[in-house]
Amino acid sequence: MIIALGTTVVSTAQTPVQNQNPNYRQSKELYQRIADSINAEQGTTSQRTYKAIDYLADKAEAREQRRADRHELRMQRARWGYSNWNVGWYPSFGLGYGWQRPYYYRRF
Amino acid sequence: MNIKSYAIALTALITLTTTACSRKVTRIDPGEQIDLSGRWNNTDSRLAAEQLTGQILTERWLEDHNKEKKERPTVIVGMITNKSHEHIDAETFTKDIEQSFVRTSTVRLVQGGEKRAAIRAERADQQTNASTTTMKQFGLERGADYMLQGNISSIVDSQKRQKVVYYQINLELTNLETNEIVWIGDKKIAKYVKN
Repeated sequence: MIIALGTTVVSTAQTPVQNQNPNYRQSKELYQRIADSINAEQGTTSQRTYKAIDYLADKAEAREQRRADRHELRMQRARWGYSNWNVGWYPSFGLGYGWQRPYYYRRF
Repeated sequence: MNIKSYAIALTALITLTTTACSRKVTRIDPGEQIDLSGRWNNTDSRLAAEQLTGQILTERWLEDHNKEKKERPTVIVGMITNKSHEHIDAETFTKDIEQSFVRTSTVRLVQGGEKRAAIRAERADQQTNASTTTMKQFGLERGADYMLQGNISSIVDSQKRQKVVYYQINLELTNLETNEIVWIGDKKIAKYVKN
C-alpha cells in the first residue's frame, strides 16, 4: 500500500526538466492563486482611453456644459424663486443651504 | 373658416406629419467605405483584420513551430488593451483573425476567459447530470502554445477645424513556456479630417 501511494505521489508531482529554475514553485504558487482573476479578461478589450486635445470636441463640450449650467439655473429658480441677492442658486429665505456657506461661495 | 381653409390646413398637416418623420435606412455592403465622423469605424476594423490575418498566417513563426513540434500550433487569445482616445472594441478584428485560424486549419484555437469558464461549468454539470457514456472528462483540455495579445494606440494632432488621427494596432504572439515573442504584427491607419 505504501509503495502504491508513493508511486502515485511520484507520478503526479512535476519532475523538473533540464535547466529549470529550482525556485519555479514560488512563481507557480503565486500565479495559481491569481490566475482566475487575470484569465477572466482573456479575449476582451481593456479600455484605457485618454482624452485627446481636440479643438472642436472641446468647444462642443464647453457648449454642452454651458447648456447644462443654464438648465440647472432655471431649475433652481423654478424651485426657490428668483432673487437678485443670490441669483437664485440658494434659498432667499429661511436658514437654507446658502446661509451656511461662506460668503465667498455665493454667486453675487 | 370655410371648407377651403379647412382643406388647406388639413393638407398642410398631412404634408408636415409625413415629411417631418421621414427616416431612411438602407442596407449597405459591410465592405463599403463610408466615413462620417472621422472616428474609428468598420472600415478601420476590417483593414486591421485583413492586414493582421495576412501577417500572422504567412510569417516565419508558423513554419518554425511546425518544423520543431511536427504539429499545428495552439493559440489562445489574451487581452487587447485600448490605449487610444476612442472607445474601440478589438473583438471586431480579433474575431476575424480567430476565424481565419479555424478556416485555414493552420492554427489550433482554444477558448479562454469567460467562455472557457462557461465550458468548464457545463462540463461540471455533466458530471452529475449526463450519462456516463456522454459525460466529458476534466483535465483533457488542449494547452495553448502561444498567447495572442495586443494594444491599440493613437495620436491626435488637431488645429482649429483640421485634425490628423493616427492609430497603431499591435498584436504579439508569445510562447507560453519560454515567454519568447515569436511574432509581432501591426496595422497603421492615419486619417486627415477637415470639418
